[in-house]
Amino acid sequence: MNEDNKNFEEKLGKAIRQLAKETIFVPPAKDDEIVGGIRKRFDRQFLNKKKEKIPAKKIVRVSRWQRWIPLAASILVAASILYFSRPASSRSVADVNGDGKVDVLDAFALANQLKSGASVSADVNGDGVVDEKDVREIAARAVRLEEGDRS
Amino acid sequence: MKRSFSPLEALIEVVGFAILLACLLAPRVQAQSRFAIYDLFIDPQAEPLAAYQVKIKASSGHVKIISVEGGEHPAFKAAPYFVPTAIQKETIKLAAFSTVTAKELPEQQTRVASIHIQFDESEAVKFDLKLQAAATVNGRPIEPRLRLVERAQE
Repeated sequence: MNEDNKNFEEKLGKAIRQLAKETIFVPPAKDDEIVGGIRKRFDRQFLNKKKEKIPAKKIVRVSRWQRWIPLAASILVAASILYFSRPASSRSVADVNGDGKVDVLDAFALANQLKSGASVSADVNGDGVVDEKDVREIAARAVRLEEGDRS
Repeated sequence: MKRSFSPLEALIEVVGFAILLACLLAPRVQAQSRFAIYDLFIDPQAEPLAAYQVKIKASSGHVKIISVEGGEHPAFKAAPYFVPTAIQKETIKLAAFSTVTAKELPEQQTRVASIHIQFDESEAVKFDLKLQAAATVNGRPIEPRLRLVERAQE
């Protein structure tokens, strides 16, 4: 009995070792069938989960001009900042009559204001007082030659 | 001892001698400069002239402005405003104003300023005259007529 057992063990061991050496042939059709089945099952599970948890995204169509809205808004904001951050009065102090240019009429206007005793704020030379010197300063600026005038 | 004379040396000597001869014999042509006075007249066309600003630019001729003087009317007797850097140049801006009453201001054509110039006699002198500003009393803008006339030689 013991001998039979011993033979059996040997035969079994031999058979197992032989099995490990042999390559088991699985037909490609069967292999594909198994893989296809797993994939179908897996996909079904995954899609069900997706449907449950993640709501479908709403697709919003944006026209071509709407794409420029953020850029336009940025420019608008930047322009506003620049506009409001400039000095309260960018007009030259020497432009007494406020016509947008400095000429002899500004000197004349200031001279008239000084003569009449009206309150004046055109401290053109920045010495703290508005007087005849400011009138002369404006007149001097009025007759100044620009770069293109010189020769 | 016989001196060797290369063609290049000969050429240099000939050219050098020719230049020297040309310099010595050339007639001395020197531009004659002349002085003149130009009077600036303003006709405010029946409006009292209280202020003016004029730009004068020599558009032809080799001109240098050498001085500026005031006008004939009491309101513009003093020399007008101008920048000293305009002297010796061909462009100048003149400006003047008067704060006297309208009755004391000129309403007809008057000489408001004069400029003294130096120019090349060989070239004709021509000026561009541009009114930059003019006003009557209270600063009201007006459009007067301008004239720049060469004063007759005495």
